[in-house]
Amino acid sequence: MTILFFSVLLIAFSILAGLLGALTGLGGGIIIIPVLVLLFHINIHLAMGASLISVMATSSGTAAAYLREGYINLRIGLFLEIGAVVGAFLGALLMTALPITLLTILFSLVLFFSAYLTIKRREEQDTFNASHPWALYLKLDGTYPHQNKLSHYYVQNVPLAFLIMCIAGLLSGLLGIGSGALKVLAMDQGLRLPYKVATTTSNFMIGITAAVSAGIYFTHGYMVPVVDFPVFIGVIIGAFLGAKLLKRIHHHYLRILFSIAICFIGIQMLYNVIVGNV
Amino acid sequence: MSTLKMEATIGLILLGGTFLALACVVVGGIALLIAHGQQPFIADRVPVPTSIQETWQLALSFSPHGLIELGLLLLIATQMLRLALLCGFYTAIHDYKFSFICLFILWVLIYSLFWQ
Repeated sequence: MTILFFSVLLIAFSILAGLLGALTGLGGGIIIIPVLVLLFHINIHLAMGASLISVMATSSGTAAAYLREGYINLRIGLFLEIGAVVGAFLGALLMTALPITLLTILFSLVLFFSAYLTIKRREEQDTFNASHPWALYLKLDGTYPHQNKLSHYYVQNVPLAFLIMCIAGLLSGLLGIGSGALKVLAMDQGLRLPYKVATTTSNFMIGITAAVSAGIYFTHGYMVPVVDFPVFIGVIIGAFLGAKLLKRIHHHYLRILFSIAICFIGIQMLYNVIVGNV
Repeated sequence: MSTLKMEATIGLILLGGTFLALACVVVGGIALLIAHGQQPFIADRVPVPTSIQETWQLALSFSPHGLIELGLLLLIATQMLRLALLCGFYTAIHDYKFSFICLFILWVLIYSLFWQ
């Protein structure tokens, strides 16, 4: 296969990754890594470097549109990010002390259960008319565009969401997984946010977290131009398309898409346990 | 500055940074394909610049690899910039709780770069 043919193929896969990442708040890694490793037989470290590029590109490509349209809640994103970075630090410290295989199996089961909870939730039936005291103190409530007008939402269960974010950070430090899935879950199942607010806020924040790892991958020589440039170009195109599509898609379909995606991550994790990669 | 205006400004700066990064990557990518497009793809590690100075020098000499790596570095810098901008904004509106949160996250992120 020539470099030209490889680049064209990878741009096509990356467009799909960017589109999915923009709609689900997961970044593009769940497509990029398996495609690079299983299809093109690329070293896992190079694939993870490319995956970080895809996460940052999705985040940057969608941020302007989602901010302009009023979906992203920056205050919630920043508050939850404290939990994520503290958890990631603890995860890195505890890396040698915890049973990684058991944690991987447990986490994949949590993802399957979360997929069920995500599909089960009917946000139209939520009748919250008051916020959690922490949400009031931190002014976390907000509005978002819904049915051609701005709808107000009340933020619930802030401590629970913060705890989920600490666990998300811990797991991403321990297992090397992206924390996008748990970020969305913390906002959807914990804070009871409208689904589009949860996915877009997650999209905004994952770029920041990915930047740190990306810096490390860069200094270790795992950012390879011939692999990363098609990923960047393709993901940006996909992310722009996703940002345009988000307004038109009903949140129920996004929930189904997200659930399928996190089940896929869960299966990948179990597969890694079975083949002895963990 | 209102929150809405601040969000729009941050969005525009992010978009600007992303397009700048994309421009470098596209130019570098096209140059790479013109020079090496017909060569066989080998899925392995190759020597690449691993420092900002090295990348900058390669980019200045219009090396395809240098231009692509410069674009990737700009993409990383854009992510850090958004946090710094938010920190500045919350300080400007005297919301010190959130400026502290931004500073804390920024500090942890930068520290982890050196700590790891």
